[in-house]
Amino acid sequence: MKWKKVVRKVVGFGLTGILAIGMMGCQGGQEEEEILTVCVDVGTEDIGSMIADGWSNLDEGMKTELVVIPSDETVAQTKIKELRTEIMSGGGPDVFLLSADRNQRLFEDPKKNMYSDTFLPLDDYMSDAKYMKPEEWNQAVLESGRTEEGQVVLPVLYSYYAFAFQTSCLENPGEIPSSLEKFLACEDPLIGSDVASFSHLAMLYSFGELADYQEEKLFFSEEDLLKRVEEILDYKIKWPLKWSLDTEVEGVVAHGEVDGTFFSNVDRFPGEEETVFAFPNDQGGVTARVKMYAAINRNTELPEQAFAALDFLLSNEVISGEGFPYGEDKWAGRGNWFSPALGGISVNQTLTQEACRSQTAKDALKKMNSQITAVRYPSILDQEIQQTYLEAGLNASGPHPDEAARKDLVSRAYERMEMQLSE
Amino acid sequence: MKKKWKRYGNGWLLVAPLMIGCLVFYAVPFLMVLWYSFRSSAGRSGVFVGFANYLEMMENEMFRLACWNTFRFLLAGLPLILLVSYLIALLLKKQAQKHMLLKSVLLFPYIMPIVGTVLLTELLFDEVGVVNRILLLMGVPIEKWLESSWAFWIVVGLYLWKNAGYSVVLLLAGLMTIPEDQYAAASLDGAGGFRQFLYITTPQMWHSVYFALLFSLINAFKCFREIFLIGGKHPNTEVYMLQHFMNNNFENLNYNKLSVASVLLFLAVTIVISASYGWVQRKEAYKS
Repeated sequence: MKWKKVVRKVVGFGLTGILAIGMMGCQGGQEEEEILTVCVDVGTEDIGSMIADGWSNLDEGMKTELVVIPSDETVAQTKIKELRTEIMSGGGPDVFLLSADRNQRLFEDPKKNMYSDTFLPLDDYMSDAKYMKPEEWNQAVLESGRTEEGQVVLPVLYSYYAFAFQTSCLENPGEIPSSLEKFLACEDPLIGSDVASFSHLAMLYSFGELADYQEEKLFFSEEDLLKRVEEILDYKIKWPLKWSLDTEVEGVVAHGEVDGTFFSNVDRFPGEEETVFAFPNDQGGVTARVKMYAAINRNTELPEQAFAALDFLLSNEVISGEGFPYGEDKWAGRGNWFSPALGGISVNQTLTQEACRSQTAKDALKKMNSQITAVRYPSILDQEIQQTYLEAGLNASGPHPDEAARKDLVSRAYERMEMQLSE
Repeated sequence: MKKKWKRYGNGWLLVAPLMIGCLVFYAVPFLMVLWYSFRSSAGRSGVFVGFANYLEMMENEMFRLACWNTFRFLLAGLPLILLVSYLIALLLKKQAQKHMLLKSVLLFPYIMPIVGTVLLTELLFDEVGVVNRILLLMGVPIEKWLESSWAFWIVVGLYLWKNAGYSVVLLLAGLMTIPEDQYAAASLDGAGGFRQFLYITTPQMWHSVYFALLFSLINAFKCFREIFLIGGKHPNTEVYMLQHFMNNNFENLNYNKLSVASVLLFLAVTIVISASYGWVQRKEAYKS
């Protein structure tokens, strides 16, 4: 019986020892080299690689590692959960450089995250910035990343919904509608057909700011949402679908969300008189949506280095593609990193204007940028609005969908938006 | 002291790995959550804010809705499941010995994969589901069962269907331990079925009822998985539970609200379980 006691003691000590050895693996190892981690997604991975390869060669640069959120939905969800857990436990990547309107997003509602102590305030760092020139940026868009604590998010790319027509093809070129109400009542067949083709965008850009995130209130009522859905649906039915994004139509120079391609198209006909304008929102101005943004993790242990990386990224040299020289005939950040494929235009409106070739494009850009009254970050609220419209308009090419069903859809969507805000 | 160690030392050694694991993976993280609930954020920049997060949480509309729905669900579901399980266990008491497979059959809904349960629910209660088709045939107006106030009762029904079998097995095990002689003696003394249940069965079943309650409570919180798959992150307000609130705050990286909700839930569950255990212990003490 004595041997049984001995065996028990040995097993007990053995199991404890195995657990202790296992726990040792959880401890930090030897001191590691400092590495700046940048979280990117598939849309921003190239830019992240540019920072990792280019900026690290400059004097203020350091070794940079990318954490990539993949495009595959299932794998992306796992990665996102892992990152969220790290962030909430006091860790996570140092810098975030993310596309705003992907389906799989690390920050479901970036505007909400601005108020939940996720991002580091950047005012102190921006006042000492070496390269970036925020005074040349679109101030309305820049302000969208500001809270009471200061600038917490830096918008990199943004867009709004605009059109460019050959003036000669418009019925009343001197009477371009300036408000949403006038736009929906406009009888010009070219404008009507073009907007109707992108009614889902019209729905999205017809709203200004959607909510006050501090007061946790929507800026519109359920009746307002229902009315808007019906207005846009009626508009779509009034102007039957004639073409899609890829179709070239006489009189249409450019249409859709503005990006490099939009202004390249405007520049295509230098001799032609063109009328360029943005789709108005319900507040008489223009709504812009941020397409790409950058921020620094509040938990970062390398705040100066993290900001230096963003300073490099948002410098005039990198945005313009000129780059920074280092060594012999080597350039950091040289190239067209903010290509039209990313969608949107750079927050540096001075450089964007300089990139336009024709005076028409320059003037149009200046005018439309000055009309921006609301800047949104794609969120669940946007998704709900768009999804409601799409579901309500399923049969819109034919007879109206059932009124009760539409009301029900809107009611449900509004309830979900209120719940999302109040959480 | 040396005698005690000699007597109990081996036992402590053998459970040490499990205890250390529980401490490291449960107790310590919970203490960290408790600490973070008193700070402005979990990160390095967080500052101590006392009970400010708790006060803010009490004013949060969605938290109050989630608490109310969870409380309502437990208030409806727990007594019903115990009642239904107890009745079934009493009915099956005589048959269970003869038909051993019966106990296994009772567990089939419990072991059914969640996806299967969800598909079945949608098949029955979707807008174009079986229930609505039957109503249409009868000329009765159809209902959006899963998107109306009926969703709550459907979830309660789902909970009963899925978990009653498990409680039946627990209660049946308790019933089987009561000696038949006691019932025989009571019958000889003229006691009817109800009096036998009251004075023989009930006093000896408190522990089994307590365990059935405990597991039913655990299974009630697991129902969130089905509700989430059917209704999404923001289901109908009738079935918006505490887990929805916590899950959504996790996705929004709002650690303050998440940690406060977790601590409050822990306190509520601890109070309920302690109160139940105290009640059972009182009953057992009275019995002895």
